[in-house]
Order: sequence, then structure tokens, then C-alpha cells
Amino acid sequence: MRQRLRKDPLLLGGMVFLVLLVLFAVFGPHLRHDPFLQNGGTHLPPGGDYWLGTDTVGRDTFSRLAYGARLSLYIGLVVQSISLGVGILMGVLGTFSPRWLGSLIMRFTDVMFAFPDILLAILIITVVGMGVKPVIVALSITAWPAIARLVKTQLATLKDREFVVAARASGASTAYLVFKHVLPQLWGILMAVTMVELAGTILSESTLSFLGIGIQAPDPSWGSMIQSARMQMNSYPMELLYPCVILSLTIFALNFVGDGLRAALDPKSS
Amino acid sequence: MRILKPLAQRLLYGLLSLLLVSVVTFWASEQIGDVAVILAGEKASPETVVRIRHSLGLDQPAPVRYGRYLNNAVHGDFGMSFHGTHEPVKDIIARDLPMTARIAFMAILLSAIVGIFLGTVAGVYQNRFQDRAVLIVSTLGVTLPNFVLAPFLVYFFCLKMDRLPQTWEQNRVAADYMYLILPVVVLSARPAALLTRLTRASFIDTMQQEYIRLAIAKGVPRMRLIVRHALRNAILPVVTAIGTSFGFLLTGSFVVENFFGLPGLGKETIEAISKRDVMVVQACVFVTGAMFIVVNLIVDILLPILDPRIREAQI
Repeated sequence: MRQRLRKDPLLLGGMVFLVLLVLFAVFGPHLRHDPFLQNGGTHLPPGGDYWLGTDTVGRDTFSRLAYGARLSLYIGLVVQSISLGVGILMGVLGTFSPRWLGSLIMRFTDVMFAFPDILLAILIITVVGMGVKPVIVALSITAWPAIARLVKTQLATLKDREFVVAARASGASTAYLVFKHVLPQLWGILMAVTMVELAGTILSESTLSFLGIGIQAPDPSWGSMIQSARMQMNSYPMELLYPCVILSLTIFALNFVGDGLRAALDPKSS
Repeated sequence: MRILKPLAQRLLYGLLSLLLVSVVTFWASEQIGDVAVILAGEKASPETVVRIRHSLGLDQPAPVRYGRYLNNAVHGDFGMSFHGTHEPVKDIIARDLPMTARIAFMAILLSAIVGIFLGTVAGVYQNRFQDRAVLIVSTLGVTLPNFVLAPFLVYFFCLKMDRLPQTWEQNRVAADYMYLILPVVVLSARPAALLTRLTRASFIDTMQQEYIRLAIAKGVPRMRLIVRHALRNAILPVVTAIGTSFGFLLTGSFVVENFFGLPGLGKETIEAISKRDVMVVQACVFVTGAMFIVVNLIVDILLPILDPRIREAQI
């Protein structure tokens, strides 16, 4: 692993950034000022008491970025956990259940996979309302098909291998086989893919918040921070820079780590 | 004649997906609460509510209502808006669709041209400077969120250089296309980057094949080899991807229309959500989803026409 890291600076850089981001999300909001308190002057420049200045109503930009990181990571991790659970279940059912049921499940997965995720999220949000929970629901419903398809293709190559046949011959039940023999082989690739998917979830969340239908005020999200900063970009372009940079770097880092892990797991690539 | 069978299958799947979209949108409209009460207003008497409910047929069972909803939708009737003058949703769609279709069409054209060109350049100069440069640009294009790209472009081209207008206005001083340059560029960034990557991979793959080696050995001129021999084959998976990247365009159009204030479906949808105007949201999602399905259907049908091998395989 150390060799791999030395050979792949993007993977290393991405990992370092993600660790820093998690620390930022955990400790950042408590480090300086309350992210919700309108205490400073409005549009203060960076430096001094407010490290990154203040926003339109005088809230600390640094703390709001940190709180936004916390919300983004929280939503991303919850959505990805649900998506992994449902995706693995669907992939396993699609492979090991009776043929008609399996093809029905996979057909449904394909339709869900192809359908633009924001469109479905918009419909769900119209019905359930806006906020953190509706965003989690909407993004979970659109996230699982990618995992289900991955599990299905991986299982298709695994299920006729000798060790599976051997386990079957010695009387293993399908459930035992799946959980003890087959799934443990998938954790690596699933983790790599989840990193990339996590980037997608964080992007979708900030897109919804940017459009004003995701996380609602006064909760900060990078997306809604970009939206409110761009209204003032003629006078205060710098305020737009911080949320844009941190969001872009997060998405870069997750993609680099995901791709790096996948390459590290694939013996053919080294 | 047997070529018709896979076509029929594709059509069937397309129709099934459309039906699924219609069921979901119908379900969504049912969840919002009693439409009759919303339409009648808060001060209406119970009799008025009952009368409206009956006149709209809302007292009938769900399958009947779904059937009528579907029938109306097929005839382009999506009910009327809950707000303002209760404008028919059909008129709203008819007003907004041209703008969305216009930028989506321009963006798909731009991203196809840019993607295939850059991808081919990267493929020709594999692992050299040109390839690396294209890789960096396409990585940026895939990962950079469009609502991050948009303000940066606006900052440079509108605020610093003052060359392009910032948002769409009712009274436009410049030609329309001046207002559409930035939105279309932002919208096409992600699909263009994806098509670049795909073209590169497909091109490199094609260049390894026997018939290309034969062509090189025969002494086919370089340009002709690239364009006529390699690209013609390499482009086929790219055509499929143009269909799927249409999904990114639809998602992107929500952001871009809102960012640049373009009067299109995406802007209308977001405004309708904040007003909880379900009829409008439902119709917009239905129309956008239908567009997505139809474009992918067209790609599926086009592909065997472009590629004799698929045609042969299906017969």
C-alpha cells in the first residue's frame, strides 16, 4: 500500500484532503464563531477575527463552511449506507433468485439507473417537502441502482468459480455462500465505487441546495452558500470562491481516491 | 424482416419506462393533498369543494383517475396551475419547452463536436503531451460542478472582460445567441468531457485492430487512416453515450436555466416547487422524462443503421 501511495500522488493527496475534511467537519464549527450567529459586520473581508470573513448577514464564513462540510458528509454517508444495503440486496436477489424474478429486478434496476436522478429527486421533494431528510430519501432512491448493477456483474463472474461450486457441493446454503464466500470478495471494489458514488451524492445534494430545494436556511450547505454568494458576485466575488473551492476539491479528492483504490485492487493495472 | 423484432423490443421498453414515469408522477400528484380544496381556496364552502371534486372526477377510484390522467397527458392536457390565473399547464409547457430544447440541442451538438475532436486528438497522441493536456481538461470537465463553472466563466467574461451579458433579460440589447453562449458552454462541459474520455478509449481500442495495421502497412495516408478507417468504427459507442449524456443535460439545464435566468422548463419547475404547484412540477417532470426516454430510443434505433455489425447480429 505504501508503494502504491508513492506511485500515485493523486490517491495520496486525495486521502490527506479527506482526512483534513473530516477533521474540519468535526471540529471546525466549534473552533471560532457560532455558524448561525449574526454577530459580526456584514461582508467583512477575510483575516482578523473572522478567518474567511462574514456573509451577507454577518455570519462567520469559516464556521458555515465547516458546518456545511458536516451536513454534506452526513447526508453522503447515510445515503451511501442505504444505497449499499439496498444495492447489495438487489444485486444478490437479481443473481440468485428464480430467473423471472431476477430479470424483473434487473430490468427495474436498469430503468432506475438510466433515469436522471435530479428529476426523480425533484418529484420526491415536491411531495415530501424540503430539508435534510427529504434530500436523504430522494438521493437514496436514486443511488442504489449503480451498486446493484456492480454487484450483479461481479457476482456473475464469481458464481461459477470452483470455490463456489465446491462450497455448494459440501452443502452450503445460498445465504451462507453469499455472505461467507462471495460478498467478502467484493468489499474492496465496493469501497472504491462507494467513494466515487459519494462524490456524486455530495454533488447532487449541493445541486439541490443550490436550486433552493435541498437543505433549507438557516442550515448552511455549500450549494446554498454558492447560490447566495453569486447574488452578490458583482460586489463580493471572493465570497463565492470559498464554497466553490471546497466543494470542487472534495469531489476531486473522492474521485481520485476511488479511482486510485480501484487501480490498486486491480492487479492488471500495476 | 427480423430486424423489426429488436426494434419492437426497444419500443416496448421505452413505452414501459414512460408508463413508469407516468405512474410515479400520478402518485406524486395524489400525495399533495386534496386538489379540490386547494383549487376551491380556503374560504370555500364544503358544497363548493364537493362540487369541484365531482366536476374534476376526483371522487372516483384511483385506477380510473390514473386512466384519465394518462389519457389527458397523451392528449397534452396536464390540468391547470394552482396559482395565479390558473393557467393551463399545457400553455406553460408550450411557452417554456422551446428554450430548454434550444439550449439542450445546442449543448449536445457542441459536446459531440468537442468530445469527438478532443478524444481523437488524445487517442492519436496517446501518452504524449497532447493526451495529458486533454486528460486534465476532461477530468476537470467531469468533476467540476456546473454551478461552480458558471460563476467562474461569468466572472471572467462578464465582469472582468465585459464581453458577454450576465443574464437573460426581457429587453435584450445584444443578439440572442450572445446570451446563450455561456449557458450552452456550461451545459455541455460535462457531456463533452465524458464523450472525450470515451472517444479516446474507443479510438485507442480501434487502433489496435488488425485491419488498422493492414491499412498502415498498405500506406494509407495518416489523416485518411484516422478519419475514414479508425474514427468511423471508434465512434459507435460514442453515439450510444450521446443518448445517455442527454440525462446530464437535463439535470444541468435545471442549474443553468436558474443561474442565467433563462425562461425554460428547469426554471419553471424550481419555481413551481417552491409554490408547491404540483400540477406544473408533475407535467414538467413528465415531459422532461419523456424527452430523455425518446432521445435514448432514437439512439437505440439509429445504432443498427450506423453499424452493420449490430444489424447483422440482430438478423
